[in-house]
Formats: sequence, structure tokens, C-alpha cells
Amino acid sequence: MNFWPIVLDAMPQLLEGARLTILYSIAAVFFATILGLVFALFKLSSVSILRGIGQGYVHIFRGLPLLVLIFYIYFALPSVFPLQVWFGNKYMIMAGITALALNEGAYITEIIRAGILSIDRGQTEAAMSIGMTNFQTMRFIILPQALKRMVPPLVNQFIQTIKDTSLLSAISVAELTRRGQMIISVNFAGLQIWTAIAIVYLVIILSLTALSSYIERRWQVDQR
Amino acid sequence: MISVKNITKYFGRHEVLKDISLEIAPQEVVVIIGPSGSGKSTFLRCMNGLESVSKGEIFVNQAEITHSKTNLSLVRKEVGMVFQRFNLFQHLSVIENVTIGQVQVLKKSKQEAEKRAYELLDKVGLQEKAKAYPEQLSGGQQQRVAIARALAMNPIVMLFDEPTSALDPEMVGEVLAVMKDLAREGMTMVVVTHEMGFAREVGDRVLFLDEGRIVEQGTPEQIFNHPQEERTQLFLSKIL
Amino acid sequence: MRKWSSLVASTLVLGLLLTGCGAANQPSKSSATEGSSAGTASAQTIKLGADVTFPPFEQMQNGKVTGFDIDIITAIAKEANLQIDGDIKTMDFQGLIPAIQTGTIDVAVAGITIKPERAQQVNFSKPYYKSGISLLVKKDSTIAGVADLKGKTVAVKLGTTGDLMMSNEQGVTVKRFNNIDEAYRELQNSGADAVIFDNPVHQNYINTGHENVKVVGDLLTGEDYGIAVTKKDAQLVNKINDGFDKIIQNGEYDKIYQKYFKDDYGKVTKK
Repeated sequence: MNFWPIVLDAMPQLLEGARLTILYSIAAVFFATILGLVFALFKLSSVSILRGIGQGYVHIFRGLPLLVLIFYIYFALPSVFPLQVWFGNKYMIMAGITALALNEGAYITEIIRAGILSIDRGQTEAAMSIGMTNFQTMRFIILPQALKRMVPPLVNQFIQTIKDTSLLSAISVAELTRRGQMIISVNFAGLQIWTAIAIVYLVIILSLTALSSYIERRWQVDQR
Repeated sequence: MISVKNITKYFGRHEVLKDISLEIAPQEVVVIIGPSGSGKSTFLRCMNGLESVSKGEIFVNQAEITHSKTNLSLVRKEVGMVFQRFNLFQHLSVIENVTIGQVQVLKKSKQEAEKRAYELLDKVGLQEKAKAYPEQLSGGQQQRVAIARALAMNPIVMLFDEPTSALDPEMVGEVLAVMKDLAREGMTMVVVTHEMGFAREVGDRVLFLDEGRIVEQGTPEQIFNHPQEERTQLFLSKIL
Repeated sequence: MRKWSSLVASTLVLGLLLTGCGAANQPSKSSATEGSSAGTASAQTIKLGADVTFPPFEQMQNGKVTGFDIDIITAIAKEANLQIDGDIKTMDFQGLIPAIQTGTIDVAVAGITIKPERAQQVNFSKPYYKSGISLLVKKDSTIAGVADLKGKTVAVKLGTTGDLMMSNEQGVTVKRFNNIDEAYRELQNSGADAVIFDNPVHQNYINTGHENVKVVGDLLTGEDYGIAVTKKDAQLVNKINDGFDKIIQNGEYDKIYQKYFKDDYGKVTKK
């Protein structure tokens, strides 16, 4: 059967979908990292209310299946607030990225928290002993060291996010999986198109994995 | 300079410091000795607020660091501290370790800070290691950088928490030499140590701490040659 | 027992994936072919698939698949001496035809419109329902027909006739959903200005308490729903057509039709 011609034929469309998949993943991870940093600091705070908020955030958004969260933000919330009216067709992508960011942010919170906790307590004490404030200690001493240890798990999370964007197909976002489904709905070539989709995902993810191990080697991140 | 008034400290239910009082005069070198677990490190860490006290007051240069409204960062930059395990900033070079506090806390320009840093590295004999990273240095070299880092803040008092305990024997001397220089220049110092030779030679006063209390204090001559308390005698007999 | 057999089946699938997919192009033996070679005396078993988000044609009710299509195929099966194998396999609409091709199912009912490109992949029975797609809008909408859709957003179900039609329309934004209720929700949330889908489903939606929407314009297509049947057993579609003729003759078709529909524009027996 004509297997590869159909695969190649679908490629331009799929690559356009892949571009969006990567774009949305970057946006989601960007916001997720901000959320993760804020809630990780909350969780490490000495103020019990902040710790509670951080704890609650992680529990809720790690506990909810991502698809349910996507549907909730996209289909349920607009029944309460006229979000679709305010944002028009942009709401689709906003909802998708928000859902991804909230979900990945919960995992990144734990990654950042673990990264910060892995730094020897003596570093904090030394910073404080020369008169640094809590903020300066975090900014100049702890985070730069923690970051190196956080890179491998953060890249893993980014890979996870790329895989998770396929769920956005359910709210009609034209990312890689959705493009593929659209092609199949016309040519019914399920085997060929799903193979092509799988190849594109693998190429993206394996390149990221390679990049990650390159960074790891360059920074000589200590394994412990 | 430092005034400690009736401090008590609990770790959970365990009372590690029991009603300790102490006055330290400018330019005085106070050496604290005692068996491990006697609370001497905890006591030292209370003096720059790294540990909070359960009861009592500590004043550093008239500022009450045990008061909840006191800005500890402001007090701490006046109190230098040297740790047993050096605690150099691992991601920064030697020169950056010595400049970061000057730039971020004292708000000096980078140039000014580096000039001062090179002076201090010269003083501890490590100018040629300025661009090295902590992991490339020996323990003794790291500890000398740590001393330079603390001195860069122009502290009015220096606290040393067993500064030679983590060092190989052949490196102890180079660190003690730097500390002796400091004492000779008139730096106020509080030193927790097991180096009795150092205590004898440099100390103005020796405190013997056991089970969270100051058991005995006096000049090195009094403590080492004529200890009055039985526990002091027992401790010294084991260690000397 | 069933748990065990599905476990064994998953293991086999995993094994197939791991040992390489060389088998993909080989013609798979479907139970339908085996059934026909065994002769006509005993009932032939067919595996039936359906998409259950298409009321009143298919829907899930109390855990059971019910609806017009299900009653029709059940009646046909009875007349044609066919045995429906176990539970009806439910899947997404766009998965039905591929499932027939891979032999997962032999027959699919889902209000499938008979179309030449689909007919290349599967056999179709005689039409059993006349349908067409139409435009559903909010009651206060100014849209009166397809001509008014320029610059608007239309919600469709992925891979349906409405999707294919709107994808070729210039200046229309198309949102494609897996299920039609999501497209309706989109209309209610003002995320879309119109939903294009099969008219009977629109009517059913309005009849189930959604008074704020209306169908506008004429039917956009004259479509016939047919039963999709595997090509691997060439005789199967004939048996189904024979069964279908019988239920029209004996009035069973009309009885089932009246159970589900008030008007009769979809009736194939209408003269």
C-alpha cells in the first residue's frame, strides 16, 4: 500500500501543528515556572497561611486530571463569567495554556522546592551571616545553585508538557494531534497518519532529551 | 561590645543553654571550650541571631538582636562569622565570594569591592587563587577565604565556630596564623575551638562551657594551670 | 473470565507492538469471514460499533446503548439471522471506519452519512434515514443562512459533513470538537456563533429544554444515513439489506421510527 506517500503528504500540515504544540508548550512552561517559583516559596515560607496556600495549590492541580481541568476552564467557567465574549476566539488558546500552566505548575512547584531544599543549609547561614536579607539569599545564593540541579527535572517536565498539549485537541486547538485527526477524518488513513504523528512527537522529544543531557554535561551537575 | 543577659535556649524540651550571661569588651579575644554537646556552638550562633533564644537578651553594639523588631540583617553585617565547614558559596569564584556581600549588602561599587577583596586575599595569602572556585581549593585555603569574606563586611566582632575542626592537621596552622594576626590587630573575637595552644597564646579570657552553663572562666593561665572546678579539671585532663 | 480475556488481549497487542508492526498490512481474519465460511444455517456473529453521543440515534441510557440506530440494527439482525457479539463497542465517530478496516468491528451505526470517499473504505447499506445538516444559532442571532457566516465562528464535530463543508468555506473560523454537546456548549458560551450538524440532532437539542436556540435556513445537504459494513465479508452488506427490506415490509421500521421522531421528513418509507 502507499504508506510513505501519505505520511509525507501530511507532513506540512503536521509540522504546522508541531510548531503550535511547541509554542503552546513554551508558553505553558513559562507561566508554570512562575507559578512554581511563587508556590514553592510559599511552601517554604515560615508563614503558615502561605504554606497552606502552596500546599493547597499543589494538591488541587496535581490531583485533577488535566483533561478535566481543561474542560472545566474551557466549558464550565464561561457559564459563570462571559469569558468567551470578553476574549473571543483567543479564549480557546488562553484556556488551554492556563490549564496546562496550572497543572505543570503544581509539578514544577515540587521540583523547585526540592531543588531549594537540596542546597546545604550552611549556604543560607553564610549568606545571612554577611547581612543578606532573605530575598538576597534566595536570589544570589540559593536559586543560582538550585537552578542547576533543577534543569534535568524541568526539561522532563517540559517534555511532559509537550505530550500533554495533545489533550488540547479536545477543545479544538489545532495542535499536532488535532491536525492529524483532521487529516484522518478526510482520508481515513489512520495507520499512516498516526505513524506520522508519532514520528513528529518523537523527533521533538528526543531532541529535547539530547539537549538536556548536553546541558547536564556542560554544567557538570552533581548527581546525588 | 556584646552583652548577653540571662539567655536560655530550648531545642524542643531539651534545655541546651541555661541562664548564660556574658560581657565582651572591645578588642577582647574570648575563647570558648567545652565537651561536644555542651552548647558552645549554639551559644555562638545566638550572638548573630542564627539561633533564636527562648529567654533573655543579647545586645550587639547596643542593638538588641533578641528583639523581634530588630532588623537582623543590619546587625549581622557587623558580626562576622566563620563556620566549621567554611560554607563558601559554591557557585561563586573566590573573588566573588569576597565581593558579593560588599556589593549587595554594603552597596559598594564592583571596583571598590574588588580592591578591598584583593587586599583581604593578600592578607590571608590567597591573592593568586582569586579566580578559582571553592571546590578547587584545599580546606585550609577555603577557610582563609571564608575569613576574608567575613572581614570584607568590616565587622566590629568576629565569631569563629570551630574553624579548624574540619581541617586536615597540616592545614590547621595556616588558619590559626591568620586568626592570630587578626587578634594582634585588635579585632574583637569570640572563638569556639579545641585548639588549646591557640587559646593559651591568643585568648584574653577562656570560658569553659558544660551542659549549657558557663562552669568557669578566667585568663588562660587561671583556666589551664589552676582550674577550680572539678568538671574543668576532668575535661582538661582528657584533652591536654 | 472477561477480565482475564481482556488482559490476555492487551498482552497480545503489546507483544505485537514490541515485535514490530509488520503484521499491519496483512489481511486480518475477522470473525465475519469465519462466520460466512461456516455456512448459513447457524447465526453469523457480527461485532457492532457505535458512537453514543448522537441522540436520538445513539445515546447512553443507564449504562446501555440505546437509540433509533440500535433498534433498527437489532431488528435487521433478527430478520437476517445475525447475532450481535456481546456488548456494542462504543468509540469516537472518527474512529468507527478505521475500526472496521482493522477488523475491530464489522458493522458501525452512528448516523453515518453515505459518501463516495467513505464508500471506498466500507460498504454501505441502503439508506435508512433521510437527513441533512442545518445551522443552529442563538434565538437573537442575525445569521439567517450560510451566506451570513463570513467572519463568524462555527462549531462542528470533528470529521463530520459540517466540518468538511465549513473547512472549505473562506473567512469562517471552524472549531472542531470530539462530541456534539461540546459544540452546543460552545454556542451557549458564545464561543461560537453557530453549530452546523445533523438537523435531527439539533431538533432533539431544542426539544430537551434549550429554548434559546433555533435552526435557521434550509437543510444544507440532502443526506442519507447508511449502516457501514466491512468490505472483508462481501456478503454481509447484502444480508443486512435483505433484513432491512423485511423490516420495512412488516412495518417494524415505521414502528421504530415513530418511537423516536415526531415529524416524518427522515422516513425512507415516505412517498
